[in-house]
Amino acid sequence: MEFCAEESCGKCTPCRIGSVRGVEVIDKIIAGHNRSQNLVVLDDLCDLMTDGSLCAMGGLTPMPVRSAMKHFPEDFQKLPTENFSILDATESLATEAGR
Amino acid sequence: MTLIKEPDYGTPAADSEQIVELQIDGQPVKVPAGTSVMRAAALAGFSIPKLCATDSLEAFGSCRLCLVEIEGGRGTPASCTTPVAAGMKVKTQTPKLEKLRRGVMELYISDHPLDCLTCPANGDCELQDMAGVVGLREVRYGFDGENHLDAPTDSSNPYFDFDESKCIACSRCVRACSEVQGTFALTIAGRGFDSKVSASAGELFFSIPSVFPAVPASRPARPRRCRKNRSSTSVCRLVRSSPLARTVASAVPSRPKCAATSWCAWCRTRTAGRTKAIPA
Ligand code: SF4
Ligand code: SF4
Ligand code: FES
Repeated sequence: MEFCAEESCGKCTPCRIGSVRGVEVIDKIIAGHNRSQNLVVLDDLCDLMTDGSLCAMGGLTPMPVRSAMKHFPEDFQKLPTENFSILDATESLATEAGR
Repeated sequence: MTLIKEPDYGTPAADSEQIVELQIDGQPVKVPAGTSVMRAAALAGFSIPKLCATDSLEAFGSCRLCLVEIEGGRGTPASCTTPVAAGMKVKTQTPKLEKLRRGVMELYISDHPLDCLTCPANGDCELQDMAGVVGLREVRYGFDGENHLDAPTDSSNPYFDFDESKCIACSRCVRACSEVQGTFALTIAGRGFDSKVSASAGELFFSIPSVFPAVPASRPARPRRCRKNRSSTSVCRLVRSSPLARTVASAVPSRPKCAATSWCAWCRTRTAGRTKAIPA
């Protein structure tokens, strides 16, 4: 996402704004803020960039994100080291367990 | 002050004798070859959400709000940049498209001031309309991310202010300036999230005499004729002053005549309230 934000030409919306939001959402997930909800947001954003971008720059950016989510889901669930909020973490674990 | 709403078919008419028949949401439609799917749909009475397209400019395909599904086709192409083909079966409303369109609007609004109530464009704003059309209810990204909300307003022009924080970088003004006006004075400076409308090398708008002729305060603005539509008299070429405007002191663009959009920074809706008294 960071790479895409850096390289985006800026013509189309999914890539111009989406990549910047993608970096932010992933940062929030890493920091453990509203994790389960933000994972849904990230997933929707990946769909949007894949199907909505004008060219392959934005269209293929979700690929590595998706594959990380698919093959290393535990990395997205790790307890954050900084900004750790036990409330957020338990909440996301609880929702996760409930699914 | 609300402009008279005029139908906007999204892309210019194709001029071809050959007629193509296709299906849009199950309804048979006949249009000249070369017509965009968006225009064909509009002619048949379906309105596909759009922001960057307007029928006085060539399709650009940047906002990605007008995505459609085409049977047998791959992905979700933009209807404004996709020409019709014989036998095409287009779907303009599906749950998938609705979700994508909502996603696009969610991104736009995550970088847009939330001051609709005090915005001069309130009630006559395509961005607002589209947010409603796609059913945007929440912006899950929040509003604390990177944004342009503090972008400065360029007030150097006597007829309008350019409020950069409200610009959605659709390039309509840039395209109007080159395609209709043939002036080529505007461009998008920067790239990616930093893209911004700029008049020649980052200068202030008023300092570009070829776009906005300096008007001595003691003289009324000289009406100018728009190249494409001779009936238009634009004060600053992109923003037309109506006779009313002269007395009431605001500049009003006329969409079909001048391609400046109906809600952008260049025109009344974005700038009204901040439109300035035309020097008379
Ligand atoms: S997806 Fe392509 S066209 Fe769209 S902003 Fe990114 S680089 Fe530009
Ligand atoms: S100033 Fe208006 S027309 Fe120009 S790019 Fe921004 S939103 Fe679009
Ligand atoms: S209207 Fe087709 S991409 Fe903007």
